[in-house]
Order: sequence, then structure tokens, then C-alpha cells
Amino acid sequence: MAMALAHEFDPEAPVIEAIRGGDRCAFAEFVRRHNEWVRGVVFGVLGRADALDEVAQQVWTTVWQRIGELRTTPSWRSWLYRLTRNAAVDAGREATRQKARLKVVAAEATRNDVVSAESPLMTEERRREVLAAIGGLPPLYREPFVLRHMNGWNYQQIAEAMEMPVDSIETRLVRARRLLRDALKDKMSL
Amino acid sequence: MYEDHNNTELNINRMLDAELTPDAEHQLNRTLIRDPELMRLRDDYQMIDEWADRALTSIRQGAEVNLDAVFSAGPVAPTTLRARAHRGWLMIPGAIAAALLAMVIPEPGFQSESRRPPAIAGSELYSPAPVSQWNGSDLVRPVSDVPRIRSRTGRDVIGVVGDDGNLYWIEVERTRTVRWPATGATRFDANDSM
Repeated sequence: MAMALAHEFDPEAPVIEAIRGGDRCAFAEFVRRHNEWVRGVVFGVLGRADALDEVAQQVWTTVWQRIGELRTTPSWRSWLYRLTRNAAVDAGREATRQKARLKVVAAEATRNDVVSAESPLMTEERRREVLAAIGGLPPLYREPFVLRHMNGWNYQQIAEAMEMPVDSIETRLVRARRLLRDALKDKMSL
Repeated sequence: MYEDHNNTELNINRMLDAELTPDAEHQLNRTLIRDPELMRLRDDYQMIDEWADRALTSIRQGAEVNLDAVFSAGPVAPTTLRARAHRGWLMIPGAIAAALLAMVIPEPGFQSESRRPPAIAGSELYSPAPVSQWNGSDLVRPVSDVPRIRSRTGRDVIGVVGDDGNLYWIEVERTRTVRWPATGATRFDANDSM
């Protein structure tokens, strides 16, 4: 019984209840813990990195304003996923492809130092190629792939967030890797 | 053969995602050792995963969320289970009132309609094309002396308490027919919208 309770305990539950009560410190902590996967969801939907900061800001603003609409605390992950996904879809509709390309170049250029420090084994050119290949995946396959790799979610977590069967997630991940292999085939032989 | 390949490919993906049981992983490794092509596929997928992990790491970190901007956008409305339940109860009278209103308001098809009796040649009661007798005055406009019939159908709702003590709603459709004018009367119609 104790084990079952321990298994069901969600460490985020008290934080979310505090946020509902208007606790700003709790909200700041919640943002710190989950901003990375929010960015992952946004990238999974948009397929490009230029609007990440802007959309993430929009998402957290909406979370603060609408936390009262979260019906049950245990469903916070899927609620936040849907909210983030909708914000990313809206952002994708607004941006034109031309503007996006220009911004991508600018955004990538500002992060060169950070990237080279974090991944010394990967050249900047390769990183761009891989990001472009991931961004070029159909959203159907890109979303679970990014959730898996950027956020480290397992199949069950991805399936719950996307409200899909685990089998479908598995199939989509296979197809995502297959498409990436085709797209990056020339680079892998080097 | 093709199905086997697909299953093996699926298991390779599961293994890379740490979703394969140890026994199944052992079985997969035995298959891969026997098939160089599948082994190459596993290596390729492994490399793609490594590249993807590194490339995506670069976009995990970004600009700090501006919390001041978040908080200034609007205060969070504290909601409790009790408040939500209270709000739900408040919706019930509104829903009942809306249902009653929907029953009382007649449907568009029953609102009103003008009917003319079929034209009968030589009839004194009805002329299909009445001749206007208006002489051009702005104030007085003669109304045709041909009688016109107008009917209006409405729906009434009556509440009746049955023998079993329950309240039953009975809908009754009533049609009222008006005929006018009988003679060549005149009508001030400055605001007449007919």
C-alpha cells in the first residue's frame, strides 16, 4: 500500500496547488523544471529554433493565466503539453517561411559558442544539417521524435501526452529514424 | 521475410530507446550478428540518435523566461474545487430558464405567415391584383378594400399536475386568423412597415 502511494505521488502536485493559489515562487520553480521540455514540444511542432524563446514566453504567460482551468492536478503534463502545442501551432501559422529562414540563420549564429562548448564532437555544420533534417520531418513523426530525444520521455509518457496508443508512437519513431537515415545518408558515410 | 525485417527494425528502435526487455535484447543481438545489413541499420540509427541528441541539446537552453512579464500579464485567479462546484450549481438555474424559454418561443416556421385565398374569377371578396386608389398624398394612403386574411400560429405551454403528482408540460399550437379591412377604410401608415 505504501509502495503504491509512493508510486502515485506526483512531486509536482503541491507545486501546482501553490501556483493555483497565486504563489509566484512556486511558479518560478515550475518554469525552471519544465521550460526545457516546453521548448522541446515547441521545436517538435515548429521544426525550427527561431521562435522558441518567444513561444515559450507565451506558453508560460498562458499557464499563469489559465492554471485555474486545469481540472485535475495529475493531468498537468498532458494539459501543459496541449497548451504548448497549441501555442506552437499558432506561432507556426503566423510566421512566413521567408521570415523564418532569415531568423534561423540569426538565431543559430548567436548560439555558436554555447553549442561548441556543449558538443565538441559535433561540428557546427553537422549540427545544422541534423537540425534541418529533423525540422524537415513531417510533424507527425517529428513530434514524438523530439519528445523522445530532447525531453527523454519514454513511450508511455509520449503516448499519454499526445493521447495516442503506445503502438502508434513506436511506429512513428521508427518512421522518423528511417526518414532521418535517408536524409543524412551521405553524411554518415563520411 | 519483409515482416521479419520490420519487426527487427522495430526492436532495434526499442533497444535504442531502452524499451526492450533484456531477453528480447539478447535475442535481437543474436539476429544482428547473423545479418550484417541489419547490424548496419542498427549502427546508422545509433549514430542518428547521437547526432539528434547533440543537436537538440543546443536548443534546449534559450533565453530565460521573463517572469515579470508573465506576472504583469494578468493575475492568476485562485480556484478551488469548492469554487468550481459552486460555479457548476449556479449554471443549473440558467440552464432551466434557457430550456423553458426555448419551449415558449415559437419556432420560426410557426411565427406568422400571410395567406391569401386562391384567386377565384369573379369573386367579390378577393382580387388578385387590387387597383390602388391612392391619389399621391403623403399623409393618407388608401388601403385596398379587398379583404385580407392573416393567420398567426403560436405555441402555448401549459403545466398540468398529473394524478401521480408529476408535473407535465403540454404544448398547444393555436392559430388565430384575422380578416381586414371589411370596407374601403383608410389608414395612416407613416410607420407602416407592411
